[in-house]
Amino acid sequence: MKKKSRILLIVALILSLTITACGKTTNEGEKQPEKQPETPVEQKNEVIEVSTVSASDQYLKFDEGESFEKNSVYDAYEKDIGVKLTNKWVSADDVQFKEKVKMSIASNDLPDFMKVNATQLKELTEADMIMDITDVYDKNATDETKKFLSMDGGMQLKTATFDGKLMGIPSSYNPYQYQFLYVRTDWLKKLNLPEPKTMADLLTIAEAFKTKDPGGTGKPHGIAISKDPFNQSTAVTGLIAFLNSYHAYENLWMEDGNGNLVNSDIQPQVKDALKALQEMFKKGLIDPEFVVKDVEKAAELLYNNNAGIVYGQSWVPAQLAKGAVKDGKVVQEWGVFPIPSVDSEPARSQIGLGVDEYYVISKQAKHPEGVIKLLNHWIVVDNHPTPEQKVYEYGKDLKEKGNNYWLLSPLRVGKQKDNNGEILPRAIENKDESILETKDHKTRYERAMKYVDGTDINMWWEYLISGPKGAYSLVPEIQNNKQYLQNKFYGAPTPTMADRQEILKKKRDEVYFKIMMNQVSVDEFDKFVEEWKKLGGDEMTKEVNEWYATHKQ
Amino acid sequence: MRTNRSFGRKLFLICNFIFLASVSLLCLMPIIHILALSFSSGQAASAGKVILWPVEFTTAAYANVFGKPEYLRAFWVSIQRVLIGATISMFLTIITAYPLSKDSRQFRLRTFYSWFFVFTILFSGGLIPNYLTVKNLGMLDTIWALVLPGAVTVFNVILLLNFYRSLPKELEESSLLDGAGQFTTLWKIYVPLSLPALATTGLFTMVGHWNSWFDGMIYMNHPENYPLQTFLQTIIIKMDFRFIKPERAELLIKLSDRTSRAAQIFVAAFPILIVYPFLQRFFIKGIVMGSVKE
Repeated sequence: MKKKSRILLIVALILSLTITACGKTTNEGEKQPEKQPETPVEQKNEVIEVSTVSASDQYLKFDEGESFEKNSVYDAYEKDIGVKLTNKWVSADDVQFKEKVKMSIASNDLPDFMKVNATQLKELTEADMIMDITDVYDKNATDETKKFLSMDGGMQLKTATFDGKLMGIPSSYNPYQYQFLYVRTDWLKKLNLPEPKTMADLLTIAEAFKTKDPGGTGKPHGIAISKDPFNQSTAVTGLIAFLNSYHAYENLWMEDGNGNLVNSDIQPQVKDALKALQEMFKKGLIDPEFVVKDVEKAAELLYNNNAGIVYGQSWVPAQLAKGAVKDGKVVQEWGVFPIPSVDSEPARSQIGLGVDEYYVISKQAKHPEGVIKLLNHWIVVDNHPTPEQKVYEYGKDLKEKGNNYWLLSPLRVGKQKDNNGEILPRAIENKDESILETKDHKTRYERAMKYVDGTDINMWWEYLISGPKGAYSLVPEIQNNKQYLQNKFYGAPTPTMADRQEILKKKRDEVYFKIMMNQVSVDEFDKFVEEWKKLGGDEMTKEVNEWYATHKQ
Repeated sequence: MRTNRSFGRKLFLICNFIFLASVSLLCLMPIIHILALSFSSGQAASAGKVILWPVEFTTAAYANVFGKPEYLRAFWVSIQRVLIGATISMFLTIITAYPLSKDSRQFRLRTFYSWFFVFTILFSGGLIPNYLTVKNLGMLDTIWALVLPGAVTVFNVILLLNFYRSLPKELEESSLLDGAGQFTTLWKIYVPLSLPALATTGLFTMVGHWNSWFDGMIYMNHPENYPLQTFLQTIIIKMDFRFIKPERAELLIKLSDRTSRAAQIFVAAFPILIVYPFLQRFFIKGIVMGSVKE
């Protein structure tokens, strides 16, 4: 009897749990239809509704009572330009966003507009699921918008154009992102070494850092490298800039001098670079464990005083700060230098196109002009906001409190060019606020000044980015002397590329690594070139050149 | 129980012991490492000083975790999911396994149904059709999307089915003779007898529900409805550096919360760590009992 009642009790408990859970879900279900009649579609006759999909973010902090459904940014869009935003779904972050976009496409369930990558843009165009926006863009985009999106000579817009039809709005950003060389300057002083001007200097420095162990750790290495150094997404602890020093480039289509395009991965300059890396490896300048270390792990070498040289983009000081600033004091001094060259010809940084994602408008969208309105408005509020328009950046309180409300704007494009390099170092050096132009200038200036006047030493990193000897200060020279090389191929992946690119890259990394780690002789590279051609490389080159013939300027 | 052990036997036992000990150590180390990380200070963690013992002991990471409303919300979703999911799943498994354990004379379409279920192990509709089905049934963004697809795990059904077959037929006959129907026989005789097997399949189901993250990401349209593992995935997956645009670079400086990550992983693994020892004795017995037939 006792046992029976106990079982009954358990069943009852489980049931009650299930029921409460059901109750909650239905409640939530009911809430949504309730909301919809409230929408003021009828009240204001010009308000149009546009649906999209969004990615949330760890660093997006909502104000009390706000959410993706209702927040001051969406309200502001509705009030200012008469576009009411709704979300078909919201993902927790960028990685999941991409997964869910794939699902939306595969199940043919597109919102009015959303962000997709280059391959998806091509697929959607071919599947006839997205709208040709040539006319909509032409009619509704303001002059400012048109100017803004073609600052780079219209290159990025061209990547979104198929057979003369504009199929998407490039989610543009500045393509002129160079890699720099970061070196511990306090160690240079300690060991009485010159600043790295040539490749030979750099190798001497790396060797001195290894043999003399200025960090005093007992297990020094020359340079910090992570496991995927030949990948362009490795924006710090990579080796692409090292290749660039030898006039070699990673998977870039470049002119061969006869008007044809060739792939940089198989050029003889790569062999020189690999040989140099092999030498460095033999001398112990490279941590043999680099193949298993991710960026964060490899960066520990820097935080721990085990390595004092690293390649990376302009924002790298933000990474270095974790080791360089401790308890409000700068304990490591870093300097930033342009990448040195192996010979008298200056090294050229390899750069991308500055666009890998696009905003596309569904064929079913009723108000494509609403999307263009969003674009126009974003450009206005992001570049020269009036005091009230600060709501788009900070929310209803109009002041910075680290909530990152700019993430709420559903359509964001960045400047294709900036003049940070001309303005910021000068402004910070002379403490001259008057020459600042953009919002970006102002935030960076404020941060750097906090370091300069000592109120926040943690802002050391901004000073090394924007300050008089910072990374940005090196940009104008690179820009003016055109010391960069841009990929000549900007179409969607060709059939062979889609098929073989990944395999070829894997093969390449394997061979590069083996040579680097001194497991095979550097002549193995020649064998790799042959194999690369056979495994689809020749086919790819042919396709790329066919494309080039029709797109050459 | 004294046996004369030969030298070879002893040697084998020693080697075996060392081998198994090192395997279990290998399994244990990562957990201890994470635990040590979660109790260390952020600076020690990002400098790579922490191995198996906390450095600069602090519980700040745990305070941080329990102060995060989104973490606790996701935790609650997961608990709901496990309770509802396991209940439904167990119920369906039992009422599916029971009739299939009868022979074809009693249940004529038995073979057809058996193959019907086995078929679903071998072939599945694939991700997109699954998604479309769930969507068209209006289950997106509700807990049912996590619970109903996959509520019948055929593997568990087979396990239980074999267990029922191994029970003596006389039990059923006598209960029918006493006037019980099939339902009464099932709930009064078979279910109580099969508790070890049920504990096993129940544990499988619970662990499965607790650990799965992909469906949460696919079927949930708002991060508020994510189960815990889907939420955790967002903090563990590394940032893709190619997509760090200059505007995002500032975020990088805040990225070093390794200790808090470790704490969140540990808290998430904890409920299952607790459940295991209690069900473990059934666990071993259950699998073996279902598989052996006279």
